[in-house]
Amino acid sequence: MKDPIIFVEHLYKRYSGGEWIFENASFSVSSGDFLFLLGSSGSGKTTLIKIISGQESFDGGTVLVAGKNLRKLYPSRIHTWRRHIGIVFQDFRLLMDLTVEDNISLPLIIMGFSKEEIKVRVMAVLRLVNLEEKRRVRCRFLSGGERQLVSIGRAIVHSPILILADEPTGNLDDEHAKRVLKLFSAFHRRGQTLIVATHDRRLPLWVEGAKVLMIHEKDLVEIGPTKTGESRL
Amino acid sequence: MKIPWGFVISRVLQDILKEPFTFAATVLCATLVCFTCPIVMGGKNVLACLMPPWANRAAAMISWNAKASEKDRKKVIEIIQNSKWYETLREVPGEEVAKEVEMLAKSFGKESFLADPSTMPGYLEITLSRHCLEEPQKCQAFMDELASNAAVDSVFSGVALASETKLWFERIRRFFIILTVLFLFVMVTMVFLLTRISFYRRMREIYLWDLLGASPLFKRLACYTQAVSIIVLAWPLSLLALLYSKRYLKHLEHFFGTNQSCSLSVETLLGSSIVTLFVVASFILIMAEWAFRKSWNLSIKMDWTWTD
Repeated sequence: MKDPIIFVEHLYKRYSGGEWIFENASFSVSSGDFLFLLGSSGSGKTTLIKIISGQESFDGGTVLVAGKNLRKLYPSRIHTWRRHIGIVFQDFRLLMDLTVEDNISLPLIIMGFSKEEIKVRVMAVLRLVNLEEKRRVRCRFLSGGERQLVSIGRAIVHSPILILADEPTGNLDDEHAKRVLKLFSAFHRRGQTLIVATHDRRLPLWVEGAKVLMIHEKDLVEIGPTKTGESRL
Repeated sequence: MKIPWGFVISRVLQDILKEPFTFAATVLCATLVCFTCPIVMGGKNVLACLMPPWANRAAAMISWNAKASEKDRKKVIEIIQNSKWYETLREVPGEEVAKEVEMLAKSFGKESFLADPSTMPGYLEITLSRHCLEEPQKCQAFMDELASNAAVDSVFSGVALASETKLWFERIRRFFIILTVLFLFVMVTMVFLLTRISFYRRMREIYLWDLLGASPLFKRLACYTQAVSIIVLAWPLSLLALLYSKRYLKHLEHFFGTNQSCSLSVETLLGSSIVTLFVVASFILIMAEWAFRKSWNLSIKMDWTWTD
């Protein structure tokens, strides 16, 4: 069995004065896994993504990501952890006045990569997400599907150890959703670890070999990997 | 860490171009602060010009009793010279008074005003010291005491009028100082509020940078760059305004007809302007940090809506 990249044990989380979102929840994700986090709206998918990405604190338990105990991570050093992950948002979170390549290069600029390396990496990603021709187009002129591809490009450009996607197909039609998942599957085949939070129960069926983690009654229940042949991508 | 200045400056410029009036208003307020501070710092000279010399002086005149002997008059002069109330003293003899009166009479078209000028009593012309304006009641009491002397016919004193005038000029000076302090306070508050508004507008982007792994320094870079650009624009503008206004301070000097120099020298203006630059720059950077923290704390509590 591969080493777990995410190890969550006895997780407790609630927002101030509210009900528990997670009560004694445990799960683990191995390196190279493609995990779907399924749950209805308000079940805690986004909260779990935020906990793993260090945006949200938790009330109890242990969360180890790539060997790092997130509880012991100093707030001033949280950015060093975030540089190891790539996040894809439902609402894309792009800077609309910047071009496609500028948006994709943003994490590299923030991390202090050299201009040459930025150019090489951005071009590689543009080829990967098939947006080479639109690299100089401002994001506000792109369709929703294209914007999500830019968002995915931005999440992978710095070669993260883990990609977190929060409802990445939530704003897309089926055709674009399949395109996004196809891209994720390609990353998965290359050994990338992915966690995709979604309420759409059809999505895991479109990806071969994906694991499913269901948020059920404040706990996390693992459902086995989708079988070969179920993928329709 | 290598700082991507090109990216930071381009983002700041884009933000400024999006809201040029907010930025211009911030620069204008900072310019006014940079302009007013050196004036206040060198203000001792400038504000002194608001008080003409006659408001700082008082005079008195003592006319002798016609029957007073030389000895009695000398005694009175001694009393005055031994007091702290006098600054200069001039004894005007009766003959000189008679000549003055005669000249006055001629100017009114009369040949002679007095039959016998030798009977004209003389007087003492006194310039009172500054103590007289500081303690007008005591000075007046001294004058009253002199008036009761047998050698003295009457005492004409401008103490009450001069002290009242001085008081009014002091009030005007204080009013200007308070007005300047209020003005500075309003301008500084406006710089803070406008800076905070523009920082808050940027927070959504900085929030995204944070999610992408921006360090605490990187998150602040754009805000600090903007704060520095405010100072870089405001200071030279204020310096130009100071040099231009120098000539108007000179007019103030002519207006009151004073001998003292109301205008500040270029060296003084430049020196106080540099001191102001350091004070204002530190203040704006502290305010920038404060505005950043306030905006950031507010921004992480809210869920940004990410639309076009």
